[in-house]
Amino acid sequence: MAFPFDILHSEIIRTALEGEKERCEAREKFGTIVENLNGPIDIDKYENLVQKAFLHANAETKLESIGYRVGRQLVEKVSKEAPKLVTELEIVKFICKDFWSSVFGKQVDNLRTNHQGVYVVQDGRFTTLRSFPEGDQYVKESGYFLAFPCGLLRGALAGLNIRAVVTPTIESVPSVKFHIQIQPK
Amino acid sequence: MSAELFCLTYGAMVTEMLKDYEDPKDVTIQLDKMGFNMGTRLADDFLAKNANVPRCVDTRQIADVLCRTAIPCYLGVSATASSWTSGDREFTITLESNPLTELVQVPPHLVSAGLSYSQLIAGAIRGALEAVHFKVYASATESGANTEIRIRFDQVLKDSLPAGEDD
Repeated sequence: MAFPFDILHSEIIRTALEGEKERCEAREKFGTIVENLNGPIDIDKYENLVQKAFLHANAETKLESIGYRVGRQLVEKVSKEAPKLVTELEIVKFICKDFWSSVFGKQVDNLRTNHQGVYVVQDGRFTTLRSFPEGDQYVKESGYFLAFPCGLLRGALAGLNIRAVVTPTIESVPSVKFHIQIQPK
Repeated sequence: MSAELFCLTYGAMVTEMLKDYEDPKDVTIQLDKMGFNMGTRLADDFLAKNANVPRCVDTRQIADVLCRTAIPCYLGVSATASSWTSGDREFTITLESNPLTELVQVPPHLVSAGLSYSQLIAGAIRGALEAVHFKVYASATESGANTEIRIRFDQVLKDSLPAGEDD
Protein backbone atom coordinates (compact mmCIF):
# COMPACT_ATOMS: atom_id res chain seq x y z
CA MET A 1 0.00 0.00 0.00
CA ALA A 2 1.35 3.39 -0.89
CA PHE A 3 -0.20 6.81 -0.91
CA PRO A 4 0.20 8.35 -4.34
CA PHE A 5 2.05 11.41 -3.08
CA ASP A 6 3.90 12.01 -6.34
CA ILE A 7 0.66 12.18 -8.27
CA LEU A 8 -0.89 14.54 -5.72
CA HIS A 9 2.21 16.71 -5.82
CA SER A 10 2.21 17.04 -9.59
CA GLU A 11 -1.53 17.74 -9.49
CA ILE A 12 -0.96 20.57 -6.96
CA ILE A 13 1.73 21.99 -9.23
CA ARG A 14 -0.59 21.82 -12.21
CA THR A 15 -3.32 23.64 -10.29
CA ALA A 16 -0.88 26.29 -9.10
CA LEU A 17 0.35 26.88 -12.63
CA GLU A 18 -3.20 27.08 -13.89
CA GLY A 19 -3.96 29.69 -11.23
CA GLU A 20 -0.96 31.68 -12.32
CA LYS A 21 -2.04 31.57 -15.93
CA GLU A 22 -5.48 32.83 -14.95
CA ARG A 23 -3.88 35.61 -12.96
CA CYS A 24 -1.72 36.70 -15.89
CA GLU A 25 -4.73 36.71 -18.20
CA ALA A 26 -6.71 38.76 -15.69
CA ARG A 27 -3.87 41.25 -15.42
CA GLU A 28 -3.67 41.65 -19.15
CA LYS A 29 -7.40 42.13 -19.44
CA PHE A 30 -7.31 44.57 -16.57
CA GLY A 31 -4.58 46.53 -18.29
CA THR A 32 -6.67 47.06 -21.42
CA ILE A 33 -9.75 47.92 -19.37
CA VAL A 34 -7.93 50.53 -17.32
CA GLU A 35 -6.87 52.34 -20.47
CA ASN A 36 -10.45 52.70 -21.67
CA LEU A 37 -11.88 53.63 -18.31
CA ASN A 38 -14.01 56.77 -17.95
CA GLY A 39 -13.50 57.33 -14.28
CA PRO A 40 -12.83 55.66 -10.97
CA ILE A 41 -16.50 54.73 -10.54
CA ASP A 42 -16.34 52.28 -13.40
CA ILE A 43 -13.74 50.18 -11.71
CA ASP A 44 -16.29 48.73 -9.29
CA LYS A 45 -17.85 46.86 -12.18
CA TYR A 46 -14.66 44.86 -12.56
CA GLU A 47 -14.16 43.97 -8.94
CA ASN A 48 -13.97 40.27 -9.69
CA LEU A 49 -11.29 40.80 -12.26
CA VAL A 50 -9.29 43.10 -10.02
CA GLN A 51 -9.34 40.54 -7.26
CA LYS A 52 -8.20 37.80 -9.55
CA ALA A 53 -5.42 39.93 -10.97
CA PHE A 54 -3.94 41.01 -7.69
CA LEU A 55 -4.86 38.45 -5.07
CA HIS A 56 -3.12 35.31 -6.23
CA ALA A 57 0.50 34.82 -5.37
CA ASN A 58 2.63 33.25 -8.08
CA ALA A 59 2.87 29.49 -8.41
CA GLU A 60 6.19 28.99 -6.64
CA THR A 61 5.17 31.17 -3.71
CA LYS A 62 1.98 29.24 -3.31
CA LEU A 63 3.72 25.87 -3.45
CA GLU A 64 6.33 27.09 -1.02
CA SER A 65 3.77 28.25 1.49
CA ILE A 66 1.94 24.92 1.33
CA GLY A 67 5.27 23.23 1.98
CA TYR A 68 6.04 25.52 4.90
CA ARG A 69 2.82 24.59 6.62
CA VAL A 70 3.39 20.88 6.12
CA GLY A 71 7.03 21.14 7.24
CA ARG A 72 6.11 22.77 10.51
CA GLN A 73 3.62 20.04 11.30
CA LEU A 74 5.78 17.16 10.16
CA VAL A 75 8.87 18.20 12.08
CA GLU A 76 6.93 18.00 15.32
CA LYS A 77 6.07 14.40 14.64
CA VAL A 78 9.59 13.47 13.59
CA SER A 79 11.36 15.26 16.45
CA LYS A 80 9.06 13.86 19.12
CA GLU A 81 11.52 11.13 20.11
CA ALA A 82 14.67 13.03 19.29
CA PRO A 83 17.20 14.06 21.94
CA LYS A 84 17.35 17.74 22.76
CA LEU A 85 18.79 19.71 19.89
CA VAL A 86 20.84 22.63 21.15
CA THR A 87 23.16 24.06 18.54
CA GLU A 88 22.30 25.22 15.06
CA LEU A 89 24.55 22.54 13.56
CA GLU A 90 22.76 19.82 15.52
CA ILE A 91 19.42 21.00 14.22
CA VAL A 92 20.57 21.13 10.61
CA LYS A 93 22.11 17.68 11.01
CA PHE A 94 18.84 16.39 12.41
CA ILE A 95 16.97 17.79 9.41
CA CYS A 96 19.41 16.17 7.01
CA LYS A 97 19.35 12.78 8.70
CA ASP A 98 16.15 11.97 10.53
CA PHE A 99 13.74 14.40 8.94
CA TRP A 100 15.06 13.83 5.43
CA SER A 101 14.94 10.07 5.63
CA SER A 102 11.46 9.91 7.12
CA VAL A 103 10.00 12.39 4.63
CA PHE A 104 12.01 11.85 1.47
CA GLY A 105 12.92 8.22 2.08
CA LYS A 106 16.72 8.60 2.13
CA GLN A 107 19.44 10.63 3.80
CA VAL A 108 21.24 13.50 2.12
CA ASP A 109 24.46 12.72 0.31
CA ASN A 110 26.50 15.68 1.44
CA LEU A 111 26.30 18.51 3.95
CA ARG A 112 28.71 21.43 3.96
CA THR A 113 28.86 24.60 5.96
CA ASN A 114 31.00 27.69 6.16
CA HIS A 115 30.26 27.92 9.92
CA GLN A 116 28.76 31.33 9.35
CA GLY A 117 25.16 30.41 8.85
CA VAL A 118 25.29 28.98 5.35
CA TYR A 119 24.69 25.27 4.77
CA VAL A 120 24.74 23.49 1.46
CA VAL A 121 22.87 20.21 1.37
CA GLN A 122 23.32 17.92 -1.58
CA ASP A 123 20.97 15.16 -2.58
CA GLY A 124 22.06 13.23 -5.63
CA ARG A 125 18.69 11.65 -6.26
CA PHE A 126 15.97 13.89 -4.97
CA THR A 127 12.62 12.25 -4.46
CA THR A 128 10.31 14.71 -6.25
CA LEU A 129 12.51 14.60 -9.36
CA ARG A 130 12.58 10.83 -9.68
CA SER A 131 10.14 10.79 -12.57
CA PHE A 132 12.27 13.15 -14.67
CA PRO A 133 14.77 11.82 -17.18
CA GLU A 134 18.34 12.40 -16.09
CA GLY A 135 20.35 15.21 -17.61
CA ASP A 136 19.95 18.93 -18.07
CA GLN A 137 16.96 18.87 -20.41
CA TYR A 138 14.29 19.64 -17.80
CA VAL A 139 16.24 21.82 -15.38
CA LYS A 140 13.83 24.71 -15.83
CA GLU A 141 10.66 22.68 -15.28
CA SER A 142 12.11 20.94 -12.26
CA GLY A 143 12.08 24.27 -10.42
CA TYR A 144 8.36 23.88 -9.79
CA PHE A 145 8.96 20.46 -8.29
CA LEU A 146 11.38 21.94 -5.76
CA ALA A 147 9.27 24.83 -4.46
CA PHE A 148 7.24 22.56 -2.18
CA PRO A 149 10.29 20.74 -0.71
CA CYS A 150 12.01 24.09 -0.10
CA GLY A 151 9.00 25.26 1.87
CA LEU A 152 8.99 21.94 3.68
CA LEU A 153 12.59 22.46 4.81
CA ARG A 154 12.02 26.08 5.77
CA GLY A 155 8.95 25.03 7.76
CA ALA A 156 10.83 22.21 9.48
CA LEU A 157 13.65 24.58 10.47
CA ALA A 158 11.13 27.13 11.68
CA GLY A 159 9.53 24.43 13.81
CA LEU A 160 12.91 23.92 15.48
CA ASN A 161 13.28 27.63 16.05
CA ILE A 162 15.60 28.52 13.19
CA ARG A 163 14.65 31.14 10.67
CA ALA A 164 16.20 30.43 7.33
CA VAL A 165 15.96 31.03 3.61
CA VAL A 166 16.09 27.87 1.53
CA THR A 167 16.89 28.00 -2.18
CA PRO A 168 17.58 25.13 -4.58
CA THR A 169 20.13 24.86 -7.35
CA ILE A 170 19.99 22.20 -10.00
CA GLU A 171 22.69 21.55 -12.49
CA SER A 172 21.63 18.17 -13.66
CA VAL A 173 18.38 16.38 -12.77
CA PRO A 174 17.87 14.60 -10.34
CA SER A 175 20.74 16.05 -8.30
CA VAL A 176 19.81 19.06 -6.18
CA LYS A 177 21.74 21.40 -3.90
CA PHE A 178 19.74 23.21 -1.25
CA HIS A 179 21.27 26.36 0.15
CA ILE A 180 20.14 27.03 3.68
CA GLN A 181 20.89 30.54 4.81
CA ILE A 182 20.23 31.08 8.48
CA GLN A 183 18.67 34.43 9.32
CA PRO A 184 19.73 36.30 12.45
CA LYS A 185 17.18 36.03 15.24
CA MET B 1 5.31 8.60 7.02
CA SER B 2 4.03 8.62 3.48
CA ALA B 3 0.51 8.72 4.87
CA GLU B 4 1.18 11.75 7.04
CA LEU B 5 3.02 13.59 4.29
CA PHE B 6 0.16 12.91 1.92
CA CYS B 7 -2.61 13.90 4.30
CA LEU B 8 -0.91 17.01 5.66
CA THR B 9 -0.05 18.16 2.16
CA TYR B 10 -3.61 17.64 1.08
CA GLY B 11 -4.88 19.59 4.08
CA ALA B 12 -2.49 22.47 3.48
CA MET B 13 -3.53 22.55 -0.15
CA VAL B 14 -7.24 22.71 0.69
CA THR B 15 -6.53 25.52 3.17
CA GLU B 16 -4.68 27.43 0.49
CA MET B 17 -7.51 26.90 -1.97
CA LEU B 18 -10.09 28.14 0.50
CA LYS B 19 -8.10 31.37 0.65
CA ASP B 20 -8.04 31.65 -3.13
CA TYR B 21 -11.64 30.88 -3.89
CA GLU B 22 -14.35 32.77 -2.11
CA ASP B 23 -16.96 30.07 -2.48
CA PRO B 24 -16.22 26.69 -0.85
CA LYS B 25 -18.31 25.11 -3.60
CA ASP B 26 -15.63 26.15 -6.10
CA VAL B 27 -13.04 24.41 -3.94
CA THR B 28 -15.09 21.22 -4.08
CA ILE B 29 -15.26 21.48 -7.87
CA GLN B 30 -11.51 22.03 -8.03
CA LEU B 31 -10.85 19.06 -5.71
CA ASP B 32 -13.05 16.89 -7.89
CA LYS B 33 -11.10 17.93 -10.96
CA MET B 34 -7.78 17.23 -9.27
CA GLY B 35 -9.06 13.86 -8.15
CA PHE B 36 -10.19 13.08 -11.67
CA ASN B 37 -6.75 13.83 -13.10
CA MET B 38 -5.13 11.74 -10.39
CA GLY B 39 -7.59 8.93 -11.02
CA THR B 40 -6.74 8.64 -14.70
CA ARG B 41 -3.10 8.20 -13.76
CA LEU B 42 -3.87 5.89 -10.86
CA ALA B 43 -5.85 3.58 -13.12
CA ASP B 44 -2.73 2.86 -15.14
CA ASP B 45 -0.66 2.39 -12.02
CA PHE B 46 -3.30 0.13 -10.51
CA LEU B 47 -3.62 -2.13 -13.53
CA ALA B 48 0.15 -2.35 -13.81
CA LYS B 49 0.45 -3.51 -10.21
CA ASN B 50 -2.58 -5.79 -10.09
CA ALA B 51 -2.50 -8.01 -13.11
CA ASN B 52 -5.08 -10.43 -11.74
CA VAL B 53 -7.97 -7.96 -11.60
CA PRO B 54 -10.83 -9.44 -13.63
CA ARG B 55 -12.65 -7.66 -16.39
CA CYS B 56 -15.71 -6.01 -14.83
CA VAL B 57 -19.04 -6.66 -16.50
CA ASP B 58 -21.44 -5.09 -14.00
CA THR B 59 -21.51 -2.45 -11.28
CA ARG B 60 -21.35 -5.04 -8.50
CA GLN B 61 -18.02 -6.19 -9.84
CA ILE B 62 -16.76 -2.61 -10.16
CA ALA B 63 -17.73 -1.96 -6.55
CA ASP B 64 -16.01 -5.17 -5.50
CA VAL B 65 -12.72 -4.24 -7.16
CA LEU B 66 -12.87 -0.72 -5.75
CA CYS B 67 -13.59 -1.85 -2.20
CA ARG B 68 -11.38 -4.93 -2.03
CA THR B 69 -8.35 -3.88 -4.05
CA ALA B 70 -8.16 -0.28 -5.22
CA ILE B 71 -9.10 1.64 -2.07
CA PRO B 72 -6.98 -0.50 0.30
CA CYS B 73 -4.11 -0.18 -2.17
CA TYR B 74 -4.01 3.63 -2.17
CA LEU B 75 -5.66 4.69 1.08
CA GLY B 76 -4.81 1.75 3.31
CA VAL B 77 -8.34 1.36 4.63
CA SER B 78 -11.09 -1.11 3.87
CA ALA B 79 -14.35 -0.09 2.31
CA THR B 80 -17.79 -1.58 1.85
CA ALA B 81 -20.40 -1.09 -0.82
CA SER B 82 -24.04 -0.81 0.15
CA SER B 83 -27.37 0.97 -0.52
CA TRP B 84 -27.87 -0.37 -4.01
CA THR B 85 -30.67 1.48 -5.77
CA SER B 86 -32.22 2.04 -9.21
CA GLY B 87 -31.45 -1.42 -10.49
CA ASP B 88 -27.84 -1.58 -9.25
CA ARG B 89 -26.96 1.65 -11.03
CA GLU B 90 -26.31 3.53 -7.82
CA PHE B 91 -24.39 2.50 -4.75
CA THR B 92 -22.56 3.91 -1.78
CA ILE B 93 -18.99 3.12 -0.79
CA THR B 94 -18.32 3.62 2.89
CA LEU B 95 -14.80 4.17 4.16
CA GLU B 96 -14.65 3.06 7.77
CA SER B 97 -11.89 5.48 8.62
CA ASN B 98 -10.72 8.10 6.22
CA PRO B 99 -6.98 8.86 6.42
CA LEU B 100 -7.57 12.24 4.79
CA THR B 101 -9.82 13.46 7.57
CA GLU B 102 -7.98 11.79 10.43
CA LEU B 103 -5.84 14.83 11.22
CA VAL B 104 -8.32 17.53 10.32
CA GLN B 105 -11.50 19.01 11.59
CA VAL B 106 -13.49 20.68 8.87
CA PRO B 107 -15.38 23.68 10.29
CA PRO B 108 -19.17 23.10 10.09
CA HIS B 109 -19.82 26.42 8.38
CA LEU B 110 -17.62 25.37 5.46
CA VAL B 111 -19.40 22.04 5.16
CA SER B 112 -22.78 23.76 5.07
CA ALA B 113 -21.40 26.21 2.51
CA GLY B 114 -20.68 23.31 0.18
CA LEU B 115 -17.14 22.17 0.92
CA SER B 116 -16.73 18.44 0.50
CA TYR B 117 -13.29 17.75 1.94
CA SER B 118 -12.92 14.24 0.61
CA GLN B 119 -14.15 15.02 -2.88
CA LEU B 120 -10.64 14.17 -4.09
CA ILE B 121 -11.37 10.49 -3.48
CA ALA B 122 -14.68 10.67 -5.32
CA GLY B 123 -12.99 12.48 -8.20
CA ALA B 124 -10.24 9.89 -8.30
CA ILE B 125 -12.79 7.08 -8.54
CA ARG B 126 -14.56 8.92 -11.33
CA GLY B 127 -11.27 9.48 -13.15
CA ALA B 128 -10.05 5.94 -12.71
CA LEU B 129 -13.32 4.45 -13.94
CA GLU B 130 -13.42 6.81 -16.88
CA ALA B 131 -9.95 5.64 -17.85
CA VAL B 132 -11.39 2.14 -18.19
CA HIS B 133 -14.43 3.45 -20.08
CA PHE B 134 -17.05 3.57 -17.35
CA LYS B 135 -18.74 6.91 -16.96
CA VAL B 136 -19.92 7.48 -13.41
CA TYR B 137 -20.85 10.38 -11.17
CA ALA B 138 -19.37 10.40 -7.71
CA SER B 139 -19.75 12.65 -4.70
CA ALA B 140 -18.38 12.39 -1.19
CA THR B 141 -20.06 13.19 2.11
CA GLU B 142 -18.76 12.99 5.64
CA SER B 143 -20.89 11.36 8.31
CA GLY B 144 -19.10 11.13 11.62
CA ALA B 145 -15.87 9.19 11.22
CA ASN B 146 -17.13 7.53 8.06
CA THR B 147 -16.86 8.93 4.60
CA GLU B 148 -19.52 7.95 2.14
CA ILE B 149 -19.03 8.09 -1.57
CA ARG B 150 -22.16 7.88 -3.62
CA ILE B 151 -21.56 6.54 -7.09
CA ARG B 152 -24.03 6.67 -9.93
CA PHE B 153 -23.28 4.66 -13.02
CA ASP B 154 -24.05 6.50 -16.23
CA GLN B 155 -22.90 4.54 -19.25
CA VAL B 156 -20.15 2.49 -20.79
CA LEU B 157 -18.10 4.78 -22.99
CA LYS B 158 -17.37 3.57 -26.46
CA ASP B 159 -14.56 4.70 -28.64
CA SER B 160 -13.97 7.79 -26.55
CA LEU B 161 -11.14 10.24 -26.45
CA PRO B 162 -8.24 9.35 -24.23
CA ALA B 163 -9.28 10.17 -20.69
CA GLY B 164 -8.25 13.58 -19.47
CA GLU B 165 -8.31 15.27 -22.87
CA ASP B 166 -11.96 16.20 -22.83
CA ASP B 167 -12.02 18.48 -19.77
